Amino acid sequence: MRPGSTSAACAALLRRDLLLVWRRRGDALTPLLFATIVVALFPLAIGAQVQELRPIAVGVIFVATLLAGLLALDTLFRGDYEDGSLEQLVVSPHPLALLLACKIAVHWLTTALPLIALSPLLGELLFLDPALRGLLPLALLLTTPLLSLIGAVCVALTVGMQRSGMLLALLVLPLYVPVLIFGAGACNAAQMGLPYLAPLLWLAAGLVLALVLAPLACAAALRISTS
Amino acid sequence: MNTLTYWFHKLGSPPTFHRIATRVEPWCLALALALGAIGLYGGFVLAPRDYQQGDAYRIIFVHVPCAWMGLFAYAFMAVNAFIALVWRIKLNEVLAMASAPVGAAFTFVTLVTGSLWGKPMWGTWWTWDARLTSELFLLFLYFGVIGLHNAIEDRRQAARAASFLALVGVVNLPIVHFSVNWWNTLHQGSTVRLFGPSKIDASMLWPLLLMALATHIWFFASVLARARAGLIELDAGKDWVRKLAQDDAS
Amino acid sequence: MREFFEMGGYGSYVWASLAVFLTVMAVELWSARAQQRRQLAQVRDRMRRSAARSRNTP
Repeated sequence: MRPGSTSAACAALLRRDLLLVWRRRGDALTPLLFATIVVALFPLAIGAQVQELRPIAVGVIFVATLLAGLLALDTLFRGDYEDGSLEQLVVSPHPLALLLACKIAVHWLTTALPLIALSPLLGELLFLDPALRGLLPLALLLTTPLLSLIGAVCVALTVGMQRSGMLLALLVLPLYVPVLIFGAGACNAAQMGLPYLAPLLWLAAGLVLALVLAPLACAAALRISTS
Repeated sequence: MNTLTYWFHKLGSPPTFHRIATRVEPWCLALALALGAIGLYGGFVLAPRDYQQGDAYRIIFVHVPCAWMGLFAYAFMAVNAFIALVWRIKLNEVLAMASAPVGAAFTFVTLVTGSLWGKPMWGTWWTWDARLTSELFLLFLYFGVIGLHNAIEDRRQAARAASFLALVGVVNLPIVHFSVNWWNTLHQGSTVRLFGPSKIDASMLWPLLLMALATHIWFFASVLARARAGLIELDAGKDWVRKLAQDDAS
Repeated sequence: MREFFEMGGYGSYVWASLAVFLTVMAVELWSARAQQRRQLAQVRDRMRRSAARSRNTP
């Protein structure tokens, strides 16, 4: 890789972001802990019987994942905005959308992927239907990148604000609705013995579309909010 | 420059727009009130009772025009947001942001009247019907746009960011509607429709269309009022606003 | 007349929805007007302050 080329810049950004996460490994565990606690609260509130927990297991895990992702979203550009390196990215000669795609990818890898790995355990806590053991991580694998990509656009809009937590949730949640519906819907359909391939394919189509469009939208939003 | 583009540019300048809006707005209001009064009289007094739903169906004379306006206001906002982002025209930023609260008000009325209709018809205040759910998320989208616009200090940057969110919402709305429809078929059977597939009688149609017209004109009156306020805020330091403030005080 | 207000037993729902509609529309327009008055008052305040400042610092 020639130094100064776009691919070198992307590689440097990936390495830097991964290193930053590694240096603060404790913080990276927060979404995991949060999702586990949310899931653990449900049996306490509803009751610990199999027939009580099994029907809601998929929904609870999806909502817990979504909320954990929402909490983690705030950190996507926060540090970079505060130390000024985000503006360096905006004025750099490389395509901003590509650089942001790298940042989003690292963010997904470090916040969402551990959650997917944890999801079988969460499923056991809620007595998840054994038939769904394979499908749930697959559905999460398709939904979480979509959540990260859509969320990144909204984070870019609120990047300069001091306390953006509640506002970010308000912006992001209506956009998350279709993703949640198809992700959880596929698992629920499978649980009811209905065909579940269609919603998964819709999610995959949405993911392909978002992979192309979301970084561009994110770049446009960032240019508006840092101008 | 031909006359049309000349007028277009002239209308785009804040002082001219403000002057014209101030003159047009009372007429819009008066017209909307007159048409609304006739429409409500036609709907609540003249129109015959529905043979299936009894008199409860009369709620559609406020519910359906408001539902149309909730979507129309979003479309109006999105078109203005697009123009504002592409050509950076100040007036369109103001118009886009002015239509958000009005659209939210119409959507809110749609939800409340829909719920008031649902109680006697479905027996519950709320049901997770595809239309109601989509409408609810439309309201949240409006709140997001308004919230983002209020949260950013710099007014023009706030309008641009909120306009961008409005455009993202345009992409999202059909997807929400589609997904909610799919979700509805997964979780429950058929639902009662406010409008059956049957054709609506002329004696019920004309009040409905008149109400739709009245709410459209009311929308424009309200948007003009909000746009005037927005322009004053943006141009607070300019001469025409100072003059206006002095005239207003005296 | 009484029959008209009862709306075949649905009176409370029908009139409540009409009331909600009229109230929200009225409040909405009133808030637009209030916003306008507030902006103009702010402009006047600012003008008064800057006038006072220019008087105090000759």
